Amino acid sequence: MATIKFNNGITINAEENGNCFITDSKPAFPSDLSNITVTTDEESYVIANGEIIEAASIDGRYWFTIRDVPETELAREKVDAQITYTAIMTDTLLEDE
Amino acid sequence: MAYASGALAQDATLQRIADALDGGSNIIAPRESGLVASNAYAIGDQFILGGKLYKATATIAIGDTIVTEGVGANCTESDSITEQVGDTANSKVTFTSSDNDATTEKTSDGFTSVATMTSGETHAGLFQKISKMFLNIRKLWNTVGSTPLENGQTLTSIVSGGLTANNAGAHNAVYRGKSLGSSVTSAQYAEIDAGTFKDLYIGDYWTINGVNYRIAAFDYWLHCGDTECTDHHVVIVPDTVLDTKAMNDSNVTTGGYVGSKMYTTYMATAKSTIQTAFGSANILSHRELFTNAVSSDKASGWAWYDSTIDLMNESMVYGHEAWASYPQYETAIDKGQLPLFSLDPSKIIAFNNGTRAYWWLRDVVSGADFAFANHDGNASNSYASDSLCIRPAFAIYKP
Repeated sequence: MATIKFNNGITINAEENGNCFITDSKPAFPSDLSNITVTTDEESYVIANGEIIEAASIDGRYWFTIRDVPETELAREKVDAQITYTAIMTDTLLEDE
Repeated sequence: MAYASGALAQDATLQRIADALDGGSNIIAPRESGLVASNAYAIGDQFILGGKLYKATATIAIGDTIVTEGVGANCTESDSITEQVGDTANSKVTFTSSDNDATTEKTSDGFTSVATMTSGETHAGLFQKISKMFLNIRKLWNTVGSTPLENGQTLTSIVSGGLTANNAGAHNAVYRGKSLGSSVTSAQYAEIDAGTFKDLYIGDYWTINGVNYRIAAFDYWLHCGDTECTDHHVVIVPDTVLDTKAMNDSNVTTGGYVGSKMYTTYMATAKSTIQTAFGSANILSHRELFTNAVSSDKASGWAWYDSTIDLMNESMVYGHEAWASYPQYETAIDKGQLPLFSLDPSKIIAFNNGTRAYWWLRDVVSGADFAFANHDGNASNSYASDSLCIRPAFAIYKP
């Protein structure tokens, strides 16, 4: 079993398989997915910037994994958002890639 | 020329020898020129008459009629060589010997040529040839070694089957490609169960219902898995594809391999074909790490699943990941090229009714594509909804 503790204090207990977690039903995940602490039978680690990835289920239960989004990917997302915001504010048409 | 008999036999023999040395009578026995005895014979004495050797069965005096058969016969034809020449146990012969037990001789290279033995040769000549052949035998013995061959193997079987020990490691290194018939025998299952795999080699195949099921690896998954695989097994790959299906109904890879319709539904026909061929009980169930989540066009999750018959990944076929979006998740425990494909890369090409086939691999390439083995031999990828062929791998074992 694994215990997943979110930044807001919410805790989810889940079965562990590979890098997946399995619960009987889909949990109510908090919006803040930073600093998630995962504790398993073997180790404990922190996911700095989490992203919930739904995994395929073979047994009707809810399977998911938590991806640790790299800082570089977050930075790019931030830059993309800023460019989009600037384009909107200046009424600029952005060309497709 | 007269010979004594009975008590004087020794003197008679000496006389015969003297006659022989003198160019006279035969050394074995005196000769009779007609049916009237010119010599006297005691019972057991021998004489030559008409080119044949006879032995007296009754006393024959000089002047008696020699009767060789029928009523009144006083002799019988003698055909025992022992009676003619006697026991040679202590006889000696002088010859030039080529035999030599010295290390320098028996470890020397090459076969000492020996002329064929022919009728009429002297003892000295025969023994010289024999001595040369003895030297050759010493060289052969030195080469072969004194350790008995393993498990009843002969030199011929070793040479034809490879210089192998009977274990998975050795048998994974030898390609043979021999037909093993139309079913797995109980003896073959016993070899598999023991992990010895005697007379089973990479490339060997069973032809069942028109499909060549070829040995691709031995004990490929042994000791792997979150639950350890402890059964010795033989991994098999068919030469021909077993079905044609899409990975998904649309161009998505959601849920990775486990989330694909191939995994959940479309493999059913191929699985049934294999189960019918080998019997469900003989198909090994082992644990596999399969991808089950995809994000940002990459595989991002995996978990352990029971596996019996499944698609191969790129590592099993090519020895490395090629198009996989996240090789770490795709490789998992199938981290090495199957010996079948490393020893004979042409076997990567699969056929579908005689035509080279495109066949799926389970690796996620993007949010829309999975990997496949192209008909022309290149590693490639295709939209998930494309219909390509199914060529799974599986293992048999003795339950």
